[in-house]
Amino acid sequence: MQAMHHEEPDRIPAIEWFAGEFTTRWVEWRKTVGKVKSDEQVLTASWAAVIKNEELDPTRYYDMDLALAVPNSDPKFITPEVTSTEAYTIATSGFGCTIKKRNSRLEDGYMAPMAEYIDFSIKSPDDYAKFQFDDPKDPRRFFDPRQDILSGDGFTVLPSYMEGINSIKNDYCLIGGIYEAWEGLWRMRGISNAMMDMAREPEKVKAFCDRLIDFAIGSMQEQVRLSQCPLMYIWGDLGYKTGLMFSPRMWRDIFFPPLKRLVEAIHKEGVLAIYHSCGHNPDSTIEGLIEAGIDGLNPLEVKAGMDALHIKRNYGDKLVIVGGIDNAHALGAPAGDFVTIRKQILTMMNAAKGGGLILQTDHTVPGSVPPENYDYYQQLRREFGNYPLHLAEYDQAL
Amino acid sequence: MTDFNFAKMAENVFLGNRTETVEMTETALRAGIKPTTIIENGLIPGMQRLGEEFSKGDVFLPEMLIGADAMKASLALIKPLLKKDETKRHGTIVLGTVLGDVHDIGKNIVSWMLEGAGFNVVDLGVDVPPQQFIDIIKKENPQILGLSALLTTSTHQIGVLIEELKKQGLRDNLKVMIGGASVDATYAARVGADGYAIDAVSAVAKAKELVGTKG
Repeated sequence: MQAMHHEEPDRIPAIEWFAGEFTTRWVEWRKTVGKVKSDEQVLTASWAAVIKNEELDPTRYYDMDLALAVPNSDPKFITPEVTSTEAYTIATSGFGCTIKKRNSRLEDGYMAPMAEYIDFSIKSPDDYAKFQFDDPKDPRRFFDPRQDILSGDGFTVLPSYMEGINSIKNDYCLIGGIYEAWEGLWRMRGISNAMMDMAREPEKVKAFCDRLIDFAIGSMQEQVRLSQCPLMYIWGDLGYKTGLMFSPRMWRDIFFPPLKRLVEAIHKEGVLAIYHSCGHNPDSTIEGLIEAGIDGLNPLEVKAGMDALHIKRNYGDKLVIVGGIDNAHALGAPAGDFVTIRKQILTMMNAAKGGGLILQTDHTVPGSVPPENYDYYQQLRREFGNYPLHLAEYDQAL
Repeated sequence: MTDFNFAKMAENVFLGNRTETVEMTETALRAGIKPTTIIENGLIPGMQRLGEEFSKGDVFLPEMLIGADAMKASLALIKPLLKKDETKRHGTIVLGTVLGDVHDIGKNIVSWMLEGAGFNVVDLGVDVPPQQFIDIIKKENPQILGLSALLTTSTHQIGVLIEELKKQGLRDNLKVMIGGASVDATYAARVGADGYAIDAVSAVAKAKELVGTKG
């Protein structure tokens, strides 16, 4: 928590989200290079991986400092219908949508980490008002085995939120998670439909966003009560590779008020808010997010032009950086290209001077990252991540 | 009917005014204006302005989407009236997002802009396996294949498909252009694509360049 308060702890803290496909590949790599002897097969869910052997859990193996735990926060608490063919898995979600995900395995030579949204229960702007949210504090969301299709864990039935919390609470600083209005809106209506509604029927969208945030606040409050987590991710996503998905004016009109209300509610619980926004987020947007009250920004997607040093130099007194490690061109470089990885990581680690930075890949570590590259990043973290920082040939003044 | 207000029609497309665009299309058709004239003087200028302002960062995806929606509603009335050769004045393009990737908004905008610009677009959607591209290329005999990729985990599918096209003797008479967040011009050159486009406006320009069409 010292890093979150812009102070230097003993080392730069780190967190990671490992895609199940990466974990599978990493475990096999460790077996190949003789670092682990195990016959255990990693069970890959959509983004997560089910691992019983701690030796095969990259979060524990690399001694991360923080861990994410989220309950079921689907607007409707349903038992998903999951059907599989050889090629696809199709599932209904408590967001009222139906998704279709191609079944893929590393040995097929490609991966399909994301699902296609193929149907939505909200079919017109008039349907927003008809949608009824279930209770965000329903105990089953926290104490029953989880199968929340969209919220990160895929189709595998996983242990309950509380079981997860109990297994990690003594070892990690806990981070909860909740989606903001835009994220909830598009999951329930589809991205294109939601955007067209925003342009043509903004008042109906705004009214629905208010209800989405009421729900999000309920889930957040219960997470904090049950886990005592001091940090909360807000899943947002405002940008894509070259710019914002919608205009700053539209963001300010539709999404800023509910976001500010959500952040205020998080602060009221004594918790700090880390806003997650992929893609390119220009300075004007970052200033708007700071105005909304956020404490940290994640994940600073490097391939979309986000630069941890720029953020540190311009907003380092107001904003904690959570992310900034390039999973595309650095970690995703050809296996063994350590020169490229070293340059990107040691350069960005300058932004950790004075505290205020938590290391994280600039989104999930995908299956396309060679395990030896990721392992090299962790070697760099061990060698250069202790305060006071000395970053060798890439050391620079802020 | 030389006094038909094409500028107003283009403005309605630009603003995403679907109802007004449809009403003006019906009025123009009733007045005997040629379908191709409506497309070229009403729809294309509206979409072109949208695309240009999108490229400059002055309009965003929601405005693009409602503009395209207005254009598509108009085209739905016009298309059945077009002669066969008028539906593909600049040729045929097969488009799709590669295997393992389900992103579609960028690809859709490119598809609509190309259609508005006079190409016959065969859009295969997202997560398209190489064999599906090959089957449709054999059937449609397109001038261009357009591939979209946003996920780093799927980008290599572009190279896989290009190699397969070569193996099957389909590459020589086909231009391949690519786009999407995970690729750039360097990548296009590396995998042997004929072109890269950063956005929908440059995709239309690149497609016209590849088929040797002006304007």
